[in-house]
Amino acid sequence: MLLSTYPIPDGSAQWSLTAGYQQSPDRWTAYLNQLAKAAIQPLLTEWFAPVPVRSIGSPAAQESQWSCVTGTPLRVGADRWLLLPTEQIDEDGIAIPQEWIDLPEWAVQAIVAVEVNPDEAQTRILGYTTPAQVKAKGQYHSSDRTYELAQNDWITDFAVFQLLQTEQLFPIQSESQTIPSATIPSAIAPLEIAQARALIQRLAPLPQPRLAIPFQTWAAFIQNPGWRQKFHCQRQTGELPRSIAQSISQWLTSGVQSAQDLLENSGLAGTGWDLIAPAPIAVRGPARSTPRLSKPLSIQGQPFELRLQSIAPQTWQFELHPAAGATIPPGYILRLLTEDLQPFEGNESIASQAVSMLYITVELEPGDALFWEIEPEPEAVDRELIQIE
Amino acid sequence: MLYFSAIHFLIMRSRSELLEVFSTFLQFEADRPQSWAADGRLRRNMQLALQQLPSPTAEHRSDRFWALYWHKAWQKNPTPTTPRNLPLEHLSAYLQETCYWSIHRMRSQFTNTQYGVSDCFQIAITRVQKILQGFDSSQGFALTNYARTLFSTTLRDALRQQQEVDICSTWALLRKTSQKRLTEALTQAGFSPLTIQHYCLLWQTFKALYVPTQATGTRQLPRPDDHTWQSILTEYQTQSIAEGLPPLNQAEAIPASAIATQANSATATSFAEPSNQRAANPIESKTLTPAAIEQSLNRCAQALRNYLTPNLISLNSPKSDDDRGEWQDTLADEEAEVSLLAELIVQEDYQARLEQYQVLENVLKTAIADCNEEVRSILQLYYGKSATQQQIAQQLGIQQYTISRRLTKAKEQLLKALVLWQASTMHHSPTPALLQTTGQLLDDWLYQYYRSQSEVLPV
Repeated sequence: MLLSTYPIPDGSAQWSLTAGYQQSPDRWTAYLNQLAKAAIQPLLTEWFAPVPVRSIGSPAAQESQWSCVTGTPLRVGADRWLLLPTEQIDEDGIAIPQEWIDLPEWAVQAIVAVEVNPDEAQTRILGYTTPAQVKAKGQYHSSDRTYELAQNDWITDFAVFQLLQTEQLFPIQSESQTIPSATIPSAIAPLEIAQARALIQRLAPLPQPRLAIPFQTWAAFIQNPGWRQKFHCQRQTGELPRSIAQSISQWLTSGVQSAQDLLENSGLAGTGWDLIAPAPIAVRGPARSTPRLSKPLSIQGQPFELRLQSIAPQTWQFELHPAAGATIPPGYILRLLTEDLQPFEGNESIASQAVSMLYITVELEPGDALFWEIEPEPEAVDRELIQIE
Repeated sequence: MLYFSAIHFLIMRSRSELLEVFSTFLQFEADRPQSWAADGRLRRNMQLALQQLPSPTAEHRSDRFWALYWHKAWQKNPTPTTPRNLPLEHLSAYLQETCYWSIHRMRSQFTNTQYGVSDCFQIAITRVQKILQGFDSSQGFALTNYARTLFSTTLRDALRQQQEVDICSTWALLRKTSQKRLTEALTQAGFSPLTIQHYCLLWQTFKALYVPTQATGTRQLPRPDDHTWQSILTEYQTQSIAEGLPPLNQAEAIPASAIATQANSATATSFAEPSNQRAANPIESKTLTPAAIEQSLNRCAQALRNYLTPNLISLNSPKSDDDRGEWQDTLADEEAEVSLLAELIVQEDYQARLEQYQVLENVLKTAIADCNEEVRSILQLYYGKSATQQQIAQQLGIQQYTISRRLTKAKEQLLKALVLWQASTMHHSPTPALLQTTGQLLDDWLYQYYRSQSEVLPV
């Protein structure tokens, strides 16, 4: 039986979607992944209906991941499925980057190898497997940090794969398995901020960054979405994202840039953030003369607004506002974390009872960036690092 | 099963006599199946085996019985010390028609292949050993079922790859190979393990640093420019130090076979080296140049192209008949073997296998009947008419993705029924590899089922 081919809708559009990559190899990686996704996501959606098949993270987050390593994770119900594009025309063996097998935070439940043929605008599914199967049967290559799984060990029939999964017939990952080159502990040791910042500068210009440092260090680095985003920006544009403070200051002095440009320079374009000019009339709280960042959120089906504004030099305030006339339910938490995902004193604002807003004020040094979080988790948001100062 | 067609009947007679089925090989002339060539030794061996049966019945003169018998004989001694592996050869003979019809069907789905019928047959028939290794009679399927799936997929892969390789530039071809394939091709070409390690690392570096810079037309990927070659060289050197690869020294010769094939290459740079330079390998750290690594990658591409060319030496000829003496020496041992196995077969497996197959047929037919009408028509089109998903979608006015889903759901149902039944007859719980095979066998069974229903003449 010939393997079924799945056409790629509008391949040329996919190419222009990757225009933001300055590094050709990364652009090519992003392109192949876009093609695979365009062809296979609708197919999986059909197969799994009514369970939705969604992208994971924002387009910006996905793009930054492609600067690091190939692969497109999709959410299928409660599971993560990895689309792994390949250009190879033989199926003797397919290589899976180590990140998808040994990085706990990136764990997936299924891997789909997709042969992409850009010239014919066609894709083929070469096979399905699980990380446990890869660990049990794959051969590790330290030279490019991939696990190679031979043809016979892939499942070529989706029906067979589903049956194996539902009947739990795949090998279970045993704890005693070690990788030939290094033992990966279940938790990756975190990096310090200074270390990560140095890595961004050091790795960005290299031809193969993921091979330049030990896997442990690389894993800790790319698993932080903030560092990954900064690395992506440095690598593809030659500079780090502008801080909000710098962008706003430039906007106020030169007044030439549009709000959209400002957001792009700060790496916030397409992330849902908007730059709002100063309101002439104070709606809530004292009158503000500086522009503020605003992001609409949906939490438990209700609309909210996250705001970020400078209230004094190097002093910033995060605010969570409910819809007009509504209150924030008790138990909601607004939280900030440092660039290396650590809490600090005064980093939380908790609604002990229904309140009109939650806010946290922080004094920052130049170069500071923060992650924000909300409990309960808003729908469809990524963990996001904001380079504020 | 006999395969006849109005066209082919005139050219190739299907075999029916038992002795012939297990001792003759298909001969091609002008790229068409022409006749059956007999192997005297195999014929005698088959006769001998027949004589060993205690009480031959009609069943014991059936192809299926003897296929099972020779498979068991092969399993007992898969790598014999004798020059000839008779069970293997008997089964190669048995599978000649199966192979022919598999490749005939698969080849018709590739309209512009340069491989002739005989080439395709050669490519597929090399898989007989693998077929015997993978066949598990307790799964309930016949050897011919299993053989068909392997013959088909082998040829399918070879034809697909050949189509692509033919229109690819050297640099595009290097991008389109797996590391395993590259390693196999280099091994076949005779390169040493250390050279292969270096070449693989070089290839990885090449792939990582040099990519197409446009959306399509990737098959014409041009040669990297000098600046890119320098980058590749630098990165390759960095990585080979990081990997702790010992450098290749001057004593590392390029294998003679590699040079011979390079002389035939139309795409590689000139390899007409004087003999006193043959010992020099371009990848020698001290004198490494961009030109040297370019040459090495050209060698890799050439090895890949050669790997895909079918082995022109016919594997399918009967052996010469002048080993009579040797045959007589081992006659006594063979008699004992044969008689033991005959007992085993007669007592245990054959009846059980035949019945098993009947039950399997019924299980699947019931499961198909349980599917709704739309699904059954999709199955009929897909397996009976060899329609593509796109074609079915057009015909039924449904999206391709929906067709795909219906097919998948149907297969899931059939597979579940099959696996449930198998669980009751097999002695071990199914593994991924086993279910993968079951999936392929199911595909083949469906194809046979729908074809026998819809057509008198094969396509």
